[in-house]
Amino acid sequence: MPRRAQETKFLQLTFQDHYRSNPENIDIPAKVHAREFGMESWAYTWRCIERNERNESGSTIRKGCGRSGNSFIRISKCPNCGSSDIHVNNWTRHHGFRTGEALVKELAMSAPHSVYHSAAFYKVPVARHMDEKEWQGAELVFDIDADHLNSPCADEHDTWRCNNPECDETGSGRSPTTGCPKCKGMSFSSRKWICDKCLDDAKKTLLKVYDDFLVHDLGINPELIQLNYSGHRGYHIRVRDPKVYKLGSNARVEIVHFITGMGFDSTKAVIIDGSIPRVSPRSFPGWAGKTAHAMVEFIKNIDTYLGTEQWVKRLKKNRTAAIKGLQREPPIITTVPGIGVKSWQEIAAKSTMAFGGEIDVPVTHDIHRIIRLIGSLNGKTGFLVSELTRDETDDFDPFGDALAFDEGALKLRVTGGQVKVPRFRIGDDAYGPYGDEVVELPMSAAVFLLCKGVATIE
Amino acid sequence: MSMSQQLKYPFSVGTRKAAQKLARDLRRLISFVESGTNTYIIEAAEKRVLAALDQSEIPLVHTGEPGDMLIYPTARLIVEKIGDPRLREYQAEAESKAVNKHLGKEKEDFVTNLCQSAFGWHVESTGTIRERAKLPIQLRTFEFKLRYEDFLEVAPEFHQSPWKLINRYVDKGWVPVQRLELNRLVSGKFKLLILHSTLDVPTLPQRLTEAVQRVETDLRGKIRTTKPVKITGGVVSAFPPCISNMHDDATQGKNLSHEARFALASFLLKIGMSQEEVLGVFKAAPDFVRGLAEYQVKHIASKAAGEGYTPPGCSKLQGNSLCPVYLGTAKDPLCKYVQHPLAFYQTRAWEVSKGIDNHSWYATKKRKRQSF
Ligand code: SF4
Ligand SMILES: [Zn+2]
Ligand SMILES: [Zn+2]
Ligand SMILES: [Zn+2]
Repeated sequence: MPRRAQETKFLQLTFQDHYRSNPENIDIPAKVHAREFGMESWAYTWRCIERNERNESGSTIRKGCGRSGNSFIRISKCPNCGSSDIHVNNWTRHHGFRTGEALVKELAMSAPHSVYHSAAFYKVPVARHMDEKEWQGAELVFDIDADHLNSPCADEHDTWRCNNPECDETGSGRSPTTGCPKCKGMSFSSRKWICDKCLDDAKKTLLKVYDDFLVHDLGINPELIQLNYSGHRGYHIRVRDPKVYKLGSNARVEIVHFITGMGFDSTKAVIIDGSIPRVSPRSFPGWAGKTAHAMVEFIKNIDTYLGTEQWVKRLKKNRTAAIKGLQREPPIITTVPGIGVKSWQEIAAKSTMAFGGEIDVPVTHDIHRIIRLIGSLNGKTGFLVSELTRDETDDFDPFGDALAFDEGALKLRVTGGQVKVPRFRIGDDAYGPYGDEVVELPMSAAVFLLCKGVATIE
Repeated sequence: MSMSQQLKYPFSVGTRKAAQKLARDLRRLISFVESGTNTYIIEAAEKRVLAALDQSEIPLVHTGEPGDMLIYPTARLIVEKIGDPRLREYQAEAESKAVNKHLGKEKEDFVTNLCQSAFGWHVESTGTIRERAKLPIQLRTFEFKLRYEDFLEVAPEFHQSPWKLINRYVDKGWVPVQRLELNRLVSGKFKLLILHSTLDVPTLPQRLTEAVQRVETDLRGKIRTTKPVKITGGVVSAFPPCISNMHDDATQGKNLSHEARFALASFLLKIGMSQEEVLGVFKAAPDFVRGLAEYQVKHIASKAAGEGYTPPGCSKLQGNSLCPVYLGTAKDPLCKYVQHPLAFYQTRAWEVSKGIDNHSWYATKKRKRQSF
């Protein structure tokens, strides 16, 4: 359900208050003058397109009025002439700030829905085209998003709605890939929710990427790595080591593959030694030394593997023995009838893919990517984009530690409908599930529902 | 470094200094080589370029004159004057091959010093053979280790499984490499330096101009005989300007950015081209410029049908400066009515099949989606 103007205005004012009274929250990115900023605003700007059209009888008529304006809700028709041929936009890029103060001032003034900055440094960050910006290097960034982790809780709390206005069917879980069960339509809007489970999965992935790959394997100085909660469904990592700034897309893709376990040549890790297939010892650096561990994990979870290779059944039957052998040091491969070296190598390759850290790939290899500003508010939740140290991360609670509004309460009319607004937690208290009802909520919970667009102010 | 070593490694600090001493900038280089007996430099440079174009060995000219140092810069100048990316690719390939060969005869110290001084790489020895003998057999063969950031400057260009970071024994940021691999990395870096450098060449005097013309003639003959694989005309003529540009660049052997390669490969796969055919598009370049390795195409192909790897839409391409309409270097009336190159392709392919080349119907039948 689209948010109404009143709620949007309220959110903007609330954000503005926050930025005015907590300017110190904002983490000014290094070399701020060399960064491009992107803003997602609460209001939409619209422009009605003026043009000549030919009608059936061949005569030319003018359509559209050429006006433009702002609107707090997403409009689909020109408010002036009713033409549906309009441009609507709530995004602007290519902003630049000479100083941190200028940035903070801008936030206090415009209080945007969301604010982002480039991982890259540019000579001319405000230039409209990438090649005029003159790229000078970029931090190495990673985005770990619950969306990519396929946490099972999505089936409990995500919902979809069929975009066919005559149908309007709704359901829970991910949108049906086979089409709408009622009208067979293929277009859906989905409402993504968050809970402790999926955010915990994201945190585990974050720590794995940080501990195992960035610090342990790549030897990156922990002091040059910055971590943060995104304020919504995930976590970000920024590597601020000047040595990585120069890396191009291709090099970043290699790092992505290294972290995700893609492209691993398992024929070197599973070899025949004498007549026995062996796996590289754990003491080996890099992925070679991780192979045995990855295989153990994979075999433990073999029931969730969807592949239909010949070896799947056999491996399931002999899983205990197979795991035992792999857990030895050096690891050995237990003879399983019907599984030859080739198959073991295949299993090893599947295992590394499953074992790698799930990161949002394009974020890392796109050297022009923008990323949420740390210390800003995330307009999808009203939560703070919170910087974390490695140690803080272990106990970090997104639903408690990222809250920005601790004063006051608000009466809301929740529009949960049949699918209901799922249960959620703010601080120590749980709320919902809500159908259509009026509730009074503490400010952080209220802002969360308003940002999610599932409630109106009573 | 001896003079003959300086001549072998044009990218070394010593060579660059020596060349700069004779001619500080392009203008001075041009006037130096055009005067008196120095014209032997132009001759040698022309031969050097022609050898590259012929894919034969780069001749080393060592007359003992200091001017020898200017043969390589002059060869670069000729190539940049012509400005054909295929020629540059030939040159880069041949020059780097020559360096690789010379490196094979150098001492270990020389190579590590070269890495450090010329490229700022961090390279260390992993110990003597005796020391390495204690290591497991798989780890014994690496004489050097190199920082991963430096390794990644070049290794991705090789597009082969053993060069992937994931297949190295990466240890606390150090990548063990063998001597031959280190030579490849050095010569590969030299190749990249050539490919990525551009010179603004002014109008040239007589001798140089003649050399340029002769090379140009040779190049034209060469390109005519090695036509890259072309996809059938009907399909190509329905490409939107963005894809058409990238496709032309690829088949001409230009170095595409990662984003461009991804966009092109995923687009071609999506419109039903086979993996083989897509590889063919990227293979067409001189050294078979492995612009996109098999596994990458495979990877994109395996996801192209699913949700992950749909080709990027217009706004994404515009953000990456890959939309020529947005940049104002091309025009097509259909672009205003689409938001995705695939949508463009669908409409245009239909038009092509029906022989429609009057596009005025867009204005009445289609909704405008972007303005430029
Ligand atoms: S508008 Fe879209 S389809 Fe047309 S050239 Fe640009 S990116 Fe390609
Ligand atoms: Zn209007
Ligand atoms: Zn429906
Ligand atoms: Zn969840």
